[in-house]
Amino acid sequence: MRRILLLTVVLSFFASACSAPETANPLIGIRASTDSAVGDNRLLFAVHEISGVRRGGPDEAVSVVASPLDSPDVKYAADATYVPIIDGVTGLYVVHIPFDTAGIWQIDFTVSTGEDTDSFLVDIKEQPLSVAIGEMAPAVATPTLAQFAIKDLTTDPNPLLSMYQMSLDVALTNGQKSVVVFSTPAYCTSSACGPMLDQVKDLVTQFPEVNFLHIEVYEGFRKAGFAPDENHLAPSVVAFGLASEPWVFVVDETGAVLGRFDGVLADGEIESLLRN
Amino acid sequence: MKRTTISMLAVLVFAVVLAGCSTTPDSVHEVVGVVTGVTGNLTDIESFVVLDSEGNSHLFEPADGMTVNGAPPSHLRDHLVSGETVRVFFHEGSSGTRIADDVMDA
Repeated sequence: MRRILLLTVVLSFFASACSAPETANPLIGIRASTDSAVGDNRLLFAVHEISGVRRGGPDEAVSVVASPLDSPDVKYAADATYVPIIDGVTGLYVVHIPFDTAGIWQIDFTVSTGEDTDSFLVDIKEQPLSVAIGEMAPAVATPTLAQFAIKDLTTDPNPLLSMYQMSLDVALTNGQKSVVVFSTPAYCTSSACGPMLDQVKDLVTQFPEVNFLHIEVYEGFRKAGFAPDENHLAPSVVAFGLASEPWVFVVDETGAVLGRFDGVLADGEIESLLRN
Repeated sequence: MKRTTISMLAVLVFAVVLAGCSTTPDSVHEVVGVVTGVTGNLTDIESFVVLDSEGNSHLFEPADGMTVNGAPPSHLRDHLVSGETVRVFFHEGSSGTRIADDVMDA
């Protein structure tokens, strides 16, 4: 009996000695925006348990308070909106914060479940890597149905032909607003390319006076030996300076960028720019 | 016989517990966690950060030829969006930098 007790004590000691120190196990926020800069007011982020379990959904309301790290007294508060990428599987929160100074910002967030959360940091650059709001969109010629078969223009399994009839340089100079989607459903490095393209396709019939274009991130994707590498980036992708995909740019009648969206689209984000 | 059996059982359990709770031995470097940051461009990544379940962040640079479940390194962005945990196998570079040799789903 004593031997068993001793064994129990020794095993308990080793078990406690090797276990991880207790933590509060707060929820963590993970920034998903890839190219944030002054003038952008849009931040994408995910909510996780530290064990890796993805959290979030329409029933988990999230509120955010953002402050420049070097000016903690400046605080902007806003409610975040959950945007599904794949319904019931994964999604991100989008929140609009007036990021008015470059530098590191601290993002504190609360969840309606009342669980503890850890703040996270985002870097807001003076200038984004890709075309900024207010800048002229690069008027690059892009391949169209007049030159190629649809299978050579898109990896979308259900393409909307009207999105491949006009070259980007024409769209930017025909006096109409344009919505330009850069995505590659077949070679996407995230799971967001197809869903984001589908969201834009749903808008086409609502705005017949707007140019809607889909541009594949890579060219030559039907050719033997193709690889989704820098040698196959589409010239327009390089011209826009994209460092990730998917992206949607909304361009006004003069060719200036009205809005830029990476990753996911919340309901109404594009529509509000097209109606104004 | 009974005492011997109990002693052997105790030693066996002891060994199992020790093996089970020991940290990763030096010869096998790996970290399991959530991808919390990826730097780089569309086709290449420069570095990435993994947060383990104890709250420790680990910064990695990809080795030449590193893959993510056999896909190019840029697919780490998918994990950034999806939140799926990863297991990173790595070695330490000469400057102490952690060089990721391979990344798999955890």
